[in-house]
Amino acid sequence: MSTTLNRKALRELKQHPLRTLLAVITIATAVASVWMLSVPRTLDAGMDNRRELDAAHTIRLFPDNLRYSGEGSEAPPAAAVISPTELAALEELPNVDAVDSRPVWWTKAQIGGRPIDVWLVGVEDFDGQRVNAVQVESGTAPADGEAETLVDSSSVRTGRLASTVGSSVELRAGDAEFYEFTVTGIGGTVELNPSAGDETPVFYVDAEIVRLFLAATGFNSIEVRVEDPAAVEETVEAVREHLQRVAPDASYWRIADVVRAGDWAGREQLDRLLPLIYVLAAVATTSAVILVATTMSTVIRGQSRQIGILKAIGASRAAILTGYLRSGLLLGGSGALLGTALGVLASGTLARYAQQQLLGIDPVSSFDLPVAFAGAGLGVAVAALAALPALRRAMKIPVRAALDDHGTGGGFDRSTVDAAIAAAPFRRQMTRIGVRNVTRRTSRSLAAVAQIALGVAAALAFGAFAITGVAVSSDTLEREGSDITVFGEMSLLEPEAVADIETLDGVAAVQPTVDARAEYSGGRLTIRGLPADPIYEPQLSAGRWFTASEVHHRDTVAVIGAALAELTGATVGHTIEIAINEEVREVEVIGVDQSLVQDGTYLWMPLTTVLELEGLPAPPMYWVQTTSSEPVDVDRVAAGIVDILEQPGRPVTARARYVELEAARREDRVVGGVIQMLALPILAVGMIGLVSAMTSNVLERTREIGVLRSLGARSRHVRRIFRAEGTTLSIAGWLVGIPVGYGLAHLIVWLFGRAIHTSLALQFPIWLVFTVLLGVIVVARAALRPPLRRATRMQPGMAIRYE
Amino acid sequence: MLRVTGRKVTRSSNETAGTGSGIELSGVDKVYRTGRLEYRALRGVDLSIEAGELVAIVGPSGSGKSTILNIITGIDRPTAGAVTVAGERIDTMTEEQLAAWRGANVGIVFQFFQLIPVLTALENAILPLEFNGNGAGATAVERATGNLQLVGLGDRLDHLPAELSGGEQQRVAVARALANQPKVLVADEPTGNLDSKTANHVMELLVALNRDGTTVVYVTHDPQLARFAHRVVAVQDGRIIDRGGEQ
Repeated sequence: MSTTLNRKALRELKQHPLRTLLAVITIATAVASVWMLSVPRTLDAGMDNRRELDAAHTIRLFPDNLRYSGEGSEAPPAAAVISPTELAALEELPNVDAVDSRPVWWTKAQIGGRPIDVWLVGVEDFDGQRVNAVQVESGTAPADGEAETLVDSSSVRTGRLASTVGSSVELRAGDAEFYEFTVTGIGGTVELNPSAGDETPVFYVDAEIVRLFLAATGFNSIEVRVEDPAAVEETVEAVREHLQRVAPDASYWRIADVVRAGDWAGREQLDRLLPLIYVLAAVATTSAVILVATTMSTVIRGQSRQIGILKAIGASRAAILTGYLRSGLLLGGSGALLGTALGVLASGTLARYAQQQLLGIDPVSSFDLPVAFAGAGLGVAVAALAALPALRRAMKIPVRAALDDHGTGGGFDRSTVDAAIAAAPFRRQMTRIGVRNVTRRTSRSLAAVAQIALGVAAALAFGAFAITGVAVSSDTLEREGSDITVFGEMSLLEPEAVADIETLDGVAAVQPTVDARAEYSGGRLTIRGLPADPIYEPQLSAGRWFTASEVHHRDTVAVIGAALAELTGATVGHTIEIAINEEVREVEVIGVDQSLVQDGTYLWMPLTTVLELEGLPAPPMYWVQTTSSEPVDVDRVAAGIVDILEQPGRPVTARARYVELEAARREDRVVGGVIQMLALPILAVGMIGLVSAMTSNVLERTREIGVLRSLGARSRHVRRIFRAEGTTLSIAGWLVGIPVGYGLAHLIVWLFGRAIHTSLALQFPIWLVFTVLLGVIVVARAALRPPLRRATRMQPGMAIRYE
Repeated sequence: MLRVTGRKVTRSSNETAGTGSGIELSGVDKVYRTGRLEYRALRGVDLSIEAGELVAIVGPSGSGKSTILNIITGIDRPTAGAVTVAGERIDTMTEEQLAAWRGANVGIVFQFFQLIPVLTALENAILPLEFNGNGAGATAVERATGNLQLVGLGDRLDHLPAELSGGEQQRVAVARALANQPKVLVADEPTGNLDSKTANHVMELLVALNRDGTTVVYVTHDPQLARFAHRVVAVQDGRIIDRGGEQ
């Protein structure tokens, strides 16, 4: 008996191919949504793979170890030469696998008739690279001693550079002159190529060329690769001790970069997005589970009569249950297989996009076995379990009632909801029918509304999150206030010369500033020195800004960023310890700044204090505020500044901030794109829910459509009925989705705020709510096309006979 | 005893019997295909029904009588042969043309009533008027109300189908079929789901409509109900075996 029932269950799946296909696609969507969880792991795998290929560094030190000897140049203060022998000795230290060094220099390239900031990175020997090996993705490596360069592939891929192999580019040397280089290849190495947070293009050249450019000897980047990344801390100490011993006077132009086990450039940014990915996966899975449960319920609902027949001819409850559960398992298994394929494809596409656009690496794929098991298990389990309540309901229907069930019913009566719907003044009968049909299958309609609501909620929440992010980012950037940042590349600017800038047409204000790197108990931070009346507009949530007196007396007082306040637990009146230039200082907190400059981990101190801490005789950097923020005006002022300040052998950078703003916006767009792509499965599940509900309704009302056609209904009349029904479900979903989306937006903004140790004010504009409504209606109309096509293409005769 | 009450169905002179509301089936074959299986429901059927006739089609289950009705209304298309109804060749029409044509010329009463469950009796009765572009305004409501009164349901206008008895539902179905004052009214086992008393009432209603000029064709397997017809056409194995004195 049970074997016959199994055969029957199988044949029924074949007999209703559309319904079966819909169920399989539904389960597949649920399974595929779980694959979202594999994206971060794929990114990890991609970076690990690339770091391995490149022999990426674990420790990077930045000694002031370039000795300028050219005409007009000045020796850097307290520079100590670390000889190649002393460097090679690092390899004898425990856990050190390989050591390499290179000269790097921040300069300009002439691109499209306009100078842009670039890094010039020297490679000692392209054929014998030991750490951070530059890979040639196309073309060839530059030849020794030739004016040739290899352009970083990230900048080419993202369109920041339009260089091709064989093209030429002009790079600026230490004498402020531009020299033409031939692009021989495109490629790079993962730790030196641009990544999120620093999008400055990189040009790789022969190390000797960099030295020649600067009329210098030596190197200013030491890269160390360790054997066991887990023991990196001990190795860092050993390296520091060694360098302290062999070059006690060496100073470092940047704080050491230590890549801990599992860490990589951009990892921090990704980690901040992880909570959002988990929220998305949870919402997508919830929506998908509702969809699978509804689909299975619909499948079983359509079998009521068959179950009645089986009961009438004496089938046992267990035999019927087993037969249908096997159908559920079969559907679940098929959905799991298809869903795994879809999940691999979708998560692979997303991971590829993120690897290329966010991480700037060649994409790699990985098959996430735990996610595969979780997804497939979910598909099979949910399909089987979801069938149970519907089966239990079907089993309870009396045999007589079940035999009379042609699956066309569904109630519309005098209940409060139905009466309210019946009272709605629709002019057209078709609209009236469509709207009233919504309550004929209450649970199915509720499920469709729930799925659309979740899709709407996801769109609203992530839209609001993106808007909040952009608003916070713009606010932060605007608070910085300056339009141009000016600094000498090889020496400090002379204050008298800087004074001349103020006379330039278009300059509104000039202000000295200084950045210094320091460490505190929780990690690294940046200190920015500013005057008592800065161009920068702090957003103080507690305390005050420093006074002219404090600046004058070089007091060690500070205004700290909100994230730093949370991380250290410090607030106004407290002191925090920072290590700057190997010296520990106690700094009194006098204010807390809510703005998100450097993600809220900044420490603002009086300019004079920072200059003293850094041992600088004059400010190394100036902010210039222009009278007009138009790029053309800012460029003109920047060019004027360079003309005033630059002298042979003393290059000056006047960096227009609108370029940084554009880069920041571009980054926002990429991150926003990834988040939107992550939200897509939820919308897809929502829309599949709508298609599923409407297709089930069309199938169930096939005979009714036949009757309508027999009474003279044209295609447009039938379309109008189902469109009204679909639109009603969509609008109901939208309405329900608004409060859910508002709550979800609060949750993800709170989660993101927690990840960056600050609180963000949620922006939830009303226009977003209506934009999402428009989107829902447009997408719903598209989603309704297949069931509508089916409804209108039916021949009345066949429709009336449909069972 | 049901009385046909309310207004009488009136027609203009060119709508009355004998002016193109006749039915002509010529050499009609109908083959149903399901996968690899073929079922020949009609085999070379020739049938002529004059305008104003009241014709019953009888025959055993599966004989093809419902298929003949479906062919007459254009619900099914003939596999071969020609079908002319109310002066128009309908076997060459597209589905959209057929729907429009049905709305204007044919009223259909189904065995299982087939009312739209979410619409009240009045709304069901207005529905074909809307399909035909006459559904809006007081005139449509007036006409549909008149038809419901005609079938004795003037006091059930706002009732949903679920709130009506089987007989009442079938009378709503008749009122709906009359909405556009069709030239031809076809009924497929119109009393199949009714008790004998209610069945007789419905048949009297069809007779009254025919008396007012509507061509009525109905299918039944009940010899008692066939007696209401002017002519009884017998069908067996997809062939007409008795034309009932067709001219």
